[in-house]
Amino acid sequence: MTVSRFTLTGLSVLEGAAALPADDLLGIWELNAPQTTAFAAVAEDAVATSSPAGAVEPGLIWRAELPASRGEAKSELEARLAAARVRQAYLEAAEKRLSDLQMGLGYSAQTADAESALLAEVMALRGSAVAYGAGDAGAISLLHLYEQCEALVARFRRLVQHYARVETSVGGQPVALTIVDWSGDHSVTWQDGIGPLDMALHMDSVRLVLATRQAWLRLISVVASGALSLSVKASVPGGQFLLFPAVYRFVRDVLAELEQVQVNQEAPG
Amino acid sequence: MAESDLRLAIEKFAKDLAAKAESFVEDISTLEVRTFTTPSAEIATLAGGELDLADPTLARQLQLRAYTKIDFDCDTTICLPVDNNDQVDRSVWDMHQTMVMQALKTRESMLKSMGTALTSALDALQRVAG
Repeated sequence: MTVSRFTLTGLSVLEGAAALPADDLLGIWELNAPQTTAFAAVAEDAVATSSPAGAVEPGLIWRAELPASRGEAKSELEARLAAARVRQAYLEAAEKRLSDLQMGLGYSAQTADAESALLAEVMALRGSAVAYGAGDAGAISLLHLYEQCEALVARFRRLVQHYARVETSVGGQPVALTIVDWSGDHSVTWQDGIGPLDMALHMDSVRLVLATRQAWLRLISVVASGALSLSVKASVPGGQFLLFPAVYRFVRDVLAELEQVQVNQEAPG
Repeated sequence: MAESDLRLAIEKFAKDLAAKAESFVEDISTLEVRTFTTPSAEIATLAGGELDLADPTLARQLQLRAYTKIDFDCDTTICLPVDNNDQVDRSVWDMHQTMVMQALKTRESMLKSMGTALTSALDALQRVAG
């Protein structure tokens, strides 16, 4: 294996998951990607043979599949760890912008696209351009909003419910797996005779998963408190629920915007 | 799906979060780290499933090599890995110590996260009430 893959499985089984984009807001993990490693093949086989459908809710499994070159693997993990830290900082910026949003101003007066899009949605919700179904073109589909919102809540709930299970393979060979409990208890299983380089790679994989989980938990609090305070500011009936997806999209837009600024700053010339 | 379904979903999530916060306060009073090793031919078979040590098949595959328990008041229990000559197995011990440090950092950051989440929730509730 020459290319790294960072995958998270277990979110596809969520009811209503199709209503949400299948991407990690932080841009670090592939969600529900098809699996190719020895670890994954065995795991999927085990699930297929031992778990009747719907009997047990499968947990979340984070897999870092790293290339045989330890140097490349280390660089890739370091880059993603750095990206996770940067995205955490972007979340703080998104929360600040959410809190600074002015309801009194027309949304054309708000400088950024993300703010304009969010305010447009707030205004539509506050007005009458809301339809229950999807048939009324141009109106916000209430049904679609509910589906998105319920899927978001389910995704967040699953994150909170499950511990982190981290599996690392290097050059296609499984090397270690770690289960991190909600309270921080660790159970680590190492392959016999593992070398220090592979050990360090697995440790970095665990750090990356924990940094991601922290950022996602932060995201929950930014979206939930943002939707609640915006619903009060904008006097949208039921807004604390209906604004959930809109605020989620706002945060995603802000993250994408800040990412683009960073890319532009780093571009030569 | 209707607003009442969504409301129920959010209420369920809020209850789960509250239950987690409650169990977190209980669980955080101790920190446990276990280090196992397994033959290289068998590690792949552990993928995806539960690490239930009561399972005899699994118990045969895994060898507990080191264990640390740290109470909130810093009382610490440590089981050291030794080799056939009763000498401390340095390689396993080093791996285990690294994980203990990682676990302590994780617990610290989880405490901060829970604090931030609760502060945000209280802030939001105050805004609604105000």
